[in-house]
Amino acid sequence: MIIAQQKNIQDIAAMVGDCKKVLLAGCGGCVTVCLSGGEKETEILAAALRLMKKQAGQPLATVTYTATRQCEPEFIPPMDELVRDVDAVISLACGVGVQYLAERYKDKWIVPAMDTMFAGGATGFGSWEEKCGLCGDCVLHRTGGICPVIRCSKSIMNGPCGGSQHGKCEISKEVDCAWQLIYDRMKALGRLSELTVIQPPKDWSKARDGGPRRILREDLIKG
Amino acid sequence: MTELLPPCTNACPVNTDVRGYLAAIARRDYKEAYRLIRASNPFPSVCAWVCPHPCEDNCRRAGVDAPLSIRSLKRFAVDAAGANRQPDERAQPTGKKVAVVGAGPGGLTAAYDLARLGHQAVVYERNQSLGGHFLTSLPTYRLPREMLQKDVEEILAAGVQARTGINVGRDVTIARLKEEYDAVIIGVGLSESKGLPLPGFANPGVMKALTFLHEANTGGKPAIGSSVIVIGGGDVAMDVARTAVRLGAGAVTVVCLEFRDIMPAHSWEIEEALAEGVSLIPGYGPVEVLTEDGAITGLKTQKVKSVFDQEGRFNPTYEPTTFQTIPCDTVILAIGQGADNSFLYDSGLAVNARGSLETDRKYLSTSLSGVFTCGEVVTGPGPAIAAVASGHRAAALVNDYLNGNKTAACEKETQAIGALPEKVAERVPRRSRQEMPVLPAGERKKNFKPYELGLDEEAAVREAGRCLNCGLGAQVIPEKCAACLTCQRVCPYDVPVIEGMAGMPVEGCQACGICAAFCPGNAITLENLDEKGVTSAIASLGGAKSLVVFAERGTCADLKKVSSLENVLVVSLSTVRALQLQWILSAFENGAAGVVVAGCREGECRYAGGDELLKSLIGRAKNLLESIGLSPGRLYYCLPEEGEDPAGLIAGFLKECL
Amino acid sequence: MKYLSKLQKMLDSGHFAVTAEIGPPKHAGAHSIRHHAQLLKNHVDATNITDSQTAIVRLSSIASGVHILDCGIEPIVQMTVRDRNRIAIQADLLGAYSLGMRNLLCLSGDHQQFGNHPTSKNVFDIDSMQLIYLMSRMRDEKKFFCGEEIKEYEPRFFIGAVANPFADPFEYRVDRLEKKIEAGAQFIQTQCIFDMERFERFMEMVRARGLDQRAHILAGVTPLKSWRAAKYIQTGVSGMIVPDSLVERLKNAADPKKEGIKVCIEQIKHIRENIKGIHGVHVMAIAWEEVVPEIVEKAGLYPRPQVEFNPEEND
Repeated sequence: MIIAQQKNIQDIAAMVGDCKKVLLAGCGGCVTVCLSGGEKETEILAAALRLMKKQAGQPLATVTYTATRQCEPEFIPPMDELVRDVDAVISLACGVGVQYLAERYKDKWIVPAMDTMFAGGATGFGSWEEKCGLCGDCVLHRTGGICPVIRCSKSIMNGPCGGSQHGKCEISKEVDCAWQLIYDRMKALGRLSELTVIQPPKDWSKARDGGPRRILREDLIKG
Repeated sequence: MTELLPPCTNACPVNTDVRGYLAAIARRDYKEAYRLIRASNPFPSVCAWVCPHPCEDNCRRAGVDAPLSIRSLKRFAVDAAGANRQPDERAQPTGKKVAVVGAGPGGLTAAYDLARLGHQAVVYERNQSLGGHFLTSLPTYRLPREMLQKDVEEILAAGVQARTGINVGRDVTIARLKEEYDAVIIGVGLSESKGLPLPGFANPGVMKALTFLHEANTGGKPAIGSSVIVIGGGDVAMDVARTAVRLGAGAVTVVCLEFRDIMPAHSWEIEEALAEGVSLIPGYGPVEVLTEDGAITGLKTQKVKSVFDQEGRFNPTYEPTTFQTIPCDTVILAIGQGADNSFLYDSGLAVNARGSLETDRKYLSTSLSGVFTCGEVVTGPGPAIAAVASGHRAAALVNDYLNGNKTAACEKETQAIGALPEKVAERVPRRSRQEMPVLPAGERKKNFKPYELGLDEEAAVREAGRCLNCGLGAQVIPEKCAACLTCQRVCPYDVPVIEGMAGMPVEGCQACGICAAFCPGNAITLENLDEKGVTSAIASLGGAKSLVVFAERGTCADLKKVSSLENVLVVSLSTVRALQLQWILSAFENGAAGVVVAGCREGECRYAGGDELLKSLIGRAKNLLESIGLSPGRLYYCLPEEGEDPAGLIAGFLKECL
Repeated sequence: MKYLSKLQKMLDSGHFAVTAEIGPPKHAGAHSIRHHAQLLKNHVDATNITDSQTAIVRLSSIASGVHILDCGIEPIVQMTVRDRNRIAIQADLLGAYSLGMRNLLCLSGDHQQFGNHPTSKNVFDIDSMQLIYLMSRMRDEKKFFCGEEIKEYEPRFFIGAVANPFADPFEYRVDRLEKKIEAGAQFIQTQCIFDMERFERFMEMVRARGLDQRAHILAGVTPLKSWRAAKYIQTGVSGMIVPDSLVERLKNAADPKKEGIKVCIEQIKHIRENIKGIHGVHVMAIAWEEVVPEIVEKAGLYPRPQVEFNPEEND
């Protein structure tokens, strides 16, 4: 899923500095699951903003709504009524949701409450890890199920580089060396010989380097 | 649909809201506790003293350490509620009249219910006072009669009329009552002790239990000798034996067919009797009362081989050659009760082959339309609370009958919440059971004074806090659940199950509310937490500059007593670990000068785990306050050390804030 | 026999080669590069020029190479894959060859997090392994990285790679070295050796596979100025191992700088005399280039053998 985290509340407040009333739009999708933008966080942010503005002598009215998912245009219209009489909408969805709101409400000031971080998953309660580089050309079958594209700091395809020590990456003792993990796993699987093949340069055109990507499924598109 | 109930409530014949009144005691709201007890039982005081408490036998806390001391708590609530009680609400008079024959627990309950429904309920009782077995059979050391009096007065206050000293069947017939009233309920109970057709039992020195107890309980001095044998293995036999001890019998021996482990008497009754010096000869059946010159000299008994046959029916067999003769001068029979059928005289009611009243056990009807029955006369011998349940049912059926309602009141199906899973039980903090303090056996056996002293307030509050709140746990709002696993990750008991969406197995959920505090979709609610109550309490602050204190129920009750905290808004939670960040913000938004989270002293919280989560939540709250321009010092996590008084700490903080 | 560079000729002729490293400055002035080149010119066979090492912006490796060449030393151009995509790498290397560079060392490059532009984007379009392979293919098959033919004047570099016997996983380091040789690496410069015992174990494995016969391995050495420098490398730099005994030795020395030089000389002698399969040393005197002549002399590697090489003739 997409992992996002909330921006600093002061930065969020600054985006709607001159507003009297705002809609805080939560999302019931990934950001609910990663505990940053679901109904609960939306209510908390609304209360905190009201309190903050009240302190500053510029009371702010808030309304809240949590969409099933903001990344589907069909889930946006139920907000229409609420959006009508607010000065701005603060979206607690990932960057996708913010854009869907901006597309629908062309004359509204739509701002993000979140920093959209990465595609990953939870490693426990309150910790998440990036797992997929969304490169569009998966190599996990060659690397023991461990992604060098995103989990190696240098995206090396023929690693590990000389900065690998004690299983950690040169950039931080907190970061596992993906290639150490790949080596260990391939060794355990008895497939070390596969690592001796020189992996060719990657086709990055399938990643975001090829420009904004889209998928068109002919078999699903009507008429 | 089957209603799922806490095992205590399910085991109680009148489905008393045990969980509810225990929670009320825990928050020191004793009037509410009393109200809840009485809501399903017009004999709260009596039952507080004598109920055999099937609730306790079924309490799921037994899987952790020991069941709740429920009857002791009921006794405490009844005592603590005092005299200042709410009068009963009564419906508009209907103009219908119902005669109730017999003023025992069943009959009085039926009359009480009918009176409250607006009917004129008149009780006919052959004794001079009301109460049935409560009055005549229960030893006064177990039930002080002023307790009965209290309950009876409240029943009468609800509008029940009593005609005492009238023997129905002799002074007035049921047929006559039927003419005079719109309906009749027969609740005469089982008032006759059974006899034995064996040699020597016709001797006048052989007494019957109920006669003996009735005499002893009404101030008489039954003629017993110095060596008494009581025949029977039930609770009545124990009452008889212990009464005989108090009457001064030198030796009292209980002889019964049943072996020790299958004696029908409750174990505590047997143990208390033994402690008072009663001897026990189980596994022997009576053969003959031996006499010499008309005086009893002993009881000949035969060793029992088996009590029940292969189908489980009572059908004793004996060792053919093993006899034992026990010397004695008095024999009292406590081998069961039957009805005194004199009420049937000229009634026109159908009887069965044994001469007993024909009744329908489900609809409590008789052969005559408009004549109903209730209590032991239908159910057979049982605890008083079963007779009360039967009385409630009779009243409901009669009410339907009087209203011409064809759909007779149907008993709802109920089922107890299943056993506490072992892995959950292991994690529940252990808390020792507060036992009813009693007088030592040597002292109490000397007289008829009550020997159960009652829990003191602190013990009662502590004990009530042991309740596991069965069935008040987390519920998932399916359309909001994102199956994010948060509940599973934060639950200290590892209860939630995620299959498509979160599920909270009712057997395991401890109703602490931590999952609800962290659920990102606000998809979890708890009856035990009363989120709406919390938000409306905070809103009630209305801009007043005061403190808002979040505390666990018990702590709340303590704080509310403190006068220096009079103007402080105390918000009650299942546990402070269930605190939600938006409540803190909301408190400040509503004008709170400061917010206190009143934590438990180390090891004192009734719930396991969640400490770290609460600390993180408070840390986050403080950071957030700081970044929105409020001093984080206005949020105080009060964690009293050993010997520190939380109220004092909070009062100090209050001073700082204002 | 045609050689790609003077360094290759030196190594192929069986001489024990000496290379050093010159770090370009953080400005646009060439005087320090030229000064160091003058200083080293008679004592080393070629000098590496680092490519914005530790991700700190410096005068470019190729431009520095022009100055060094002008001063009379053969440069070894370092090329990292951190800052350039495959287009820029090829363009720069075509340019480097046209300017007379003949030796190319292919590296990944330190992560930008360590440098003075930690918020920059890293490229890593291809990795060092791929660079080695693609540059050797460019030379041998006259092809751009994409496979398109180079009609004429293909660059013909003597291609080197690095090996770090001190990074993990240890056993796999030899596999990866072999992979680099397979990819086309002709010479190998190792990471600075402080843990001689581990280096010897590494070389045992290298020799067992005959890798020393397939590429020229130059052992990397670094003189340390102080025990603090040793301690820093020991604890603060990933993929380096410094024995405590070395830290202690420097700590206890009356003149730590002298001691550091002494250690370095001992290491070179030990490597040359005791470790088979090593064809030269690579002296990385980080920001201390002026001590290289002394080290080379005292290690008995001076004067340097004279090898004639004319780039034009060999083209």
